[in-house]
Amino acid sequence: MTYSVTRTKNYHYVIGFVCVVMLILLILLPTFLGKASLRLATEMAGYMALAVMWNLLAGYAGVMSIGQQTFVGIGGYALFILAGFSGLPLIPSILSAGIISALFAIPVGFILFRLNGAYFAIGSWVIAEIFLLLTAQSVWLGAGSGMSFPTAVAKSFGNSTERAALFWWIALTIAIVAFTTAYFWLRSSRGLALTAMRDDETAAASLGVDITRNKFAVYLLAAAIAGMVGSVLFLGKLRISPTAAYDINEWTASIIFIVVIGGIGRLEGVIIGVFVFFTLRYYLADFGTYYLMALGAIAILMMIKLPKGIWGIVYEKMEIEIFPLRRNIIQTQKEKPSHH
Amino acid sequence: MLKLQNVSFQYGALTIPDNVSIEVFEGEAVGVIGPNGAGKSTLLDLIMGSKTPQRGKIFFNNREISVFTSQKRCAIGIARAYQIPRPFYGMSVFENVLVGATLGGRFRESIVYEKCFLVLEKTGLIEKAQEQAGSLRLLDRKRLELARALATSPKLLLLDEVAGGLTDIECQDLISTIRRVNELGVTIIWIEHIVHALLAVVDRLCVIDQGQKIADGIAHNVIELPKIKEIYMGTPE
Repeated sequence: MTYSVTRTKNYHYVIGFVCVVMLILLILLPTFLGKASLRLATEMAGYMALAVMWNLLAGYAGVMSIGQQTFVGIGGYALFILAGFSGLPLIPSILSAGIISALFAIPVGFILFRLNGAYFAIGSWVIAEIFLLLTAQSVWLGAGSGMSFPTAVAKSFGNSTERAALFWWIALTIAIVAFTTAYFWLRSSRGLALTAMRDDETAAASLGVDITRNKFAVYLLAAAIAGMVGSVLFLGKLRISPTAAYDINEWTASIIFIVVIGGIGRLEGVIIGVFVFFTLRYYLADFGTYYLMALGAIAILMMIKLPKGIWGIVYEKMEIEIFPLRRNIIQTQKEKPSHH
Repeated sequence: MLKLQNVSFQYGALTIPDNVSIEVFEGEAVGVIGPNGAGKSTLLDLIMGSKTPQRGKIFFNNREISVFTSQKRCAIGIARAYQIPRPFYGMSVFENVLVGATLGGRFRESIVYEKCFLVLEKTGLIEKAQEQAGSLRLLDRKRLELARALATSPKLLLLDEVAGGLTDIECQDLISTIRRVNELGVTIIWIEHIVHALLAVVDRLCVIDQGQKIADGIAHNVIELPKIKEIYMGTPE
């Protein structure tokens, strides 16, 4: 008997085809949708990118960060300064926003990775608050009232319809980059390490997994993506202020909700989570603060009743993966030598 | 090969192990026995690096490794099978072994597939390679502990009560697997309460009691020592 390993099953070719078709539709979205819907789609793409990263952080690497708003905020401010006031073109500014966020993540991570579990979580939040306060004290960043994006520069990106389309394409690109990076990361042997860490960190370490290095790598990637998401979403709003930039509800609590509902530690979960979140937000937004309470109640109920999330249940019942990560073993009988 | 030099670890007021020195030579199979709480598992924690000794030094192949991380120790050839199996629940049995083979052995994934299949065959898990590790029963979980550790190509294998909770037949199975591994040149340190299983494999026995090493020598001689019978077996003569 010999054995071999494959990653894809036949149905993955169908899924691959569907993905390509959907991608084309998404690229063409500005031809079907108006400005307002396109802005919503842009926001969804941004949330998707953040959720994919938070899932990688908390769901796999065991990094319980509730301070990702730090990097969203830094990215947002970086863009306003670079593209708005320094004359750097838009795309290099967005990329730089990602890089700047990741650079900030190095010292922040250096401090935080000395903490474990709940201490890490609290520490990450505290650091986000420190950035909020520092920004609010910085006159050159507009202090507490923040900044508006210069109208002249905004107009150079086109009229409001063209801008909505442009920002959508940028957000879509960021979401796709986040998703495919996460996917290929998880498929590689680094992903094997991350998945092992997800299940048991001590055992992973004694089998040769470098825990800290893997955590740090994911943390830097997540910071870069958060920075780019922050830059494009605040660009869409044309305004940024410290409380909006470093908002824990907006950039972390909602993201945790999306990941938990969809299925933590499952790549597919975030797609479902994003749609559930935005549907709920759409129907509940009129109820004001009750909306947040309802989201909280749903999340708690979900954690008690279905801790594996929607996709976790689907996976357990049907063992299907939309994005193949598993290694499937194929058994082949050795061919008998033929006699002529 | 492995040398513990006056190693101590402090749990609050308790020092366990306390000033223990052991030297293990290449190719040996050393059994470690002693009552519960004597410090046996802590000894393995110290060797594997999940704990660092407050006092004393640990050498592996003449290199001091006292402050190495577990990951680094794995890379230089130390592997451990845990007392309570710690499978990666959400991964298949094959992927569990693959973690050890690629990340512990530092090889590219595609090169080590064959080796993983071999390890799975040797440990009797090949039929279950595709199953989720979380769905395995006790014997298979223990086998998986061993398989994962073996996949890292260790020079020194630390076994922590791998025979506990197994039936006689299962135990025989495990004994022959471990013996085969030792015969291939892997040095073994094995903590076990099931003494007859231990004696079927090891040629040397260390006894630890209350953090102290109280005996160390040829297995069959050590087990006959009156003080060992008294302390460990609880049968004063």
